[in-house]
Amino acid sequence: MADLVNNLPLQSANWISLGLFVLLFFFVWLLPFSRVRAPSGKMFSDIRIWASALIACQLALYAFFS
Amino acid sequence: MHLLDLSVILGYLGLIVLVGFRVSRGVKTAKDFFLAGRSLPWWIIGLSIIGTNIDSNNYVGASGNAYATGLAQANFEWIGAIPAMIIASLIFIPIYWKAGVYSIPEYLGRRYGQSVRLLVALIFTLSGIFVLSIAMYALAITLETYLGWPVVVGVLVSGLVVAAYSISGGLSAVTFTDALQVSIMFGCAIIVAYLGFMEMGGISEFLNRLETKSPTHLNPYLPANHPDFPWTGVILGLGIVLSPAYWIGSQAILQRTLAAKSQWDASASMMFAAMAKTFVPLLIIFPGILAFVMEAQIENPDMALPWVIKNVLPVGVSGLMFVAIIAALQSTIDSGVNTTALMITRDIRQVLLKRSDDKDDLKIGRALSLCILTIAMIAAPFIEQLGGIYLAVQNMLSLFQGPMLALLCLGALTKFVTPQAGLWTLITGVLLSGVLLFSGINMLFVAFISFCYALVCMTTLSYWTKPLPLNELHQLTFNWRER
Repeated sequence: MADLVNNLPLQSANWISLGLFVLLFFFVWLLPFSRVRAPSGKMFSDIRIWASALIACQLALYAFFS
Repeated sequence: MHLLDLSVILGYLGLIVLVGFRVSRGVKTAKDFFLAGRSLPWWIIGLSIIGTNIDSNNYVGASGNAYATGLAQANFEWIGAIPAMIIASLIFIPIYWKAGVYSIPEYLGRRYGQSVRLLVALIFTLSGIFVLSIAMYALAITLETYLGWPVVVGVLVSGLVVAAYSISGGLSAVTFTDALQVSIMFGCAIIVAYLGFMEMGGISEFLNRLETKSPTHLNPYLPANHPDFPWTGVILGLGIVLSPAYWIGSQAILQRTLAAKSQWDASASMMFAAMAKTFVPLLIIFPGILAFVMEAQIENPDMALPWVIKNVLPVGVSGLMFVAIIAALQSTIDSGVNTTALMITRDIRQVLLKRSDDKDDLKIGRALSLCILTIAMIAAPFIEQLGGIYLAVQNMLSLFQGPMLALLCLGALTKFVTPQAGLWTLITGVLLSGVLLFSGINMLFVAFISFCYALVCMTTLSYWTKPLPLNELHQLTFNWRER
């Protein structure tokens, strides 16, 4: 198993990273959220939107350098 | 050093003390001192988190590593931080905040019992004092390199500056000065990036030259057989264990979020810090890569940052960059002092003496801050001789990360794990990590294996031991059904 992983091309590390961030994106939107919205209730007070922007930024970085 | 650079440095030191003093008014209770009276807004906390996170190793060491290996060093800021920060923000911080605790050991104490609280607080305190001494020494060495001050004078001056605001103002003064320090750091990073790209003829020309000189410098990962940072170890050990253990378990980082004025501010602060973290490579990686592309003639990679300061930055800006390095170190020291004082005051003293009084806590917290800073100042000049002990403490902390993460994850996300299972998993998990580390396995893999062991051990032991009552668990665990 260890040999199999070690023999994977280096490029696969980037793909695994991208995959992990995509999974995280879906996880973020599956969470219950009543307690992390600001009292104002404005759209951008929903931290899931912040998280999504952050994940998009990471996806762009790993895709650019892959 | 040019007079203008010196003026910038002295101006900065004066400004920090002034801001610290101004914010320190109104500290009347232990809650004001340790948690800023639970009044801080998200953006101040977010900047303070970054200030606490970036230390001298980041600035000088990361630039050096980037010079030698390239962009792979950025993984510590990206996959090695961002996912864990998002999870901390959305899952763990709301739990800690709702539990109303002052510290992570206190949360673990409520979830697993006072023995776990005491054990975790002792380990954090011991390693915290060593980290402080190291940071103090690094600051003194930086002052010696650039200003020619002897190490003892550097230790004395930096200790007095930190003492001036952190002992009277507590966390409030620490976070506000951290925010100012991080703003200076990012300001410098933008100037360095701009001047660097201009020197190279633009961003595309910079990337072209880097790709021609060494294409591997643009790869975020190193081969699986790399001795220090194999990509498999980075993803499994750093991404899945060490990074979450740090971002959801570090007292220095999370104490700020517990000082937020609302639960939303607490969560938003960590998310804001994660956004800033995305750009931290500009601060600490870019100077190293710039020195590499500019073919800096340096003896060892750690000289990359000083080389950039000397050869790329004009007078005045180089003083500001030097200020950024001092700021990174100071924010580590002031945070460490307050955090360590909190854990001794509440998590060790209260558990051992079994009594708590808010006014006593404030007095003791201030006295301990002074003691801790003094110990760090006395130990700092001897750090080189204490190198072996420091490494041992660092290793001890790394042994602890896998089991600690398992305790936090299962404790916060499930209701079935029991106090006894937590205590025995922590003890046996640390022992297992020790055996693995001494058998020569890479630290990243040790963290992953010990984390997996702790998950299995705690789940198994919990079947035979008694859980906490449901009404207590409700405040301490994540509710998946809540909408």
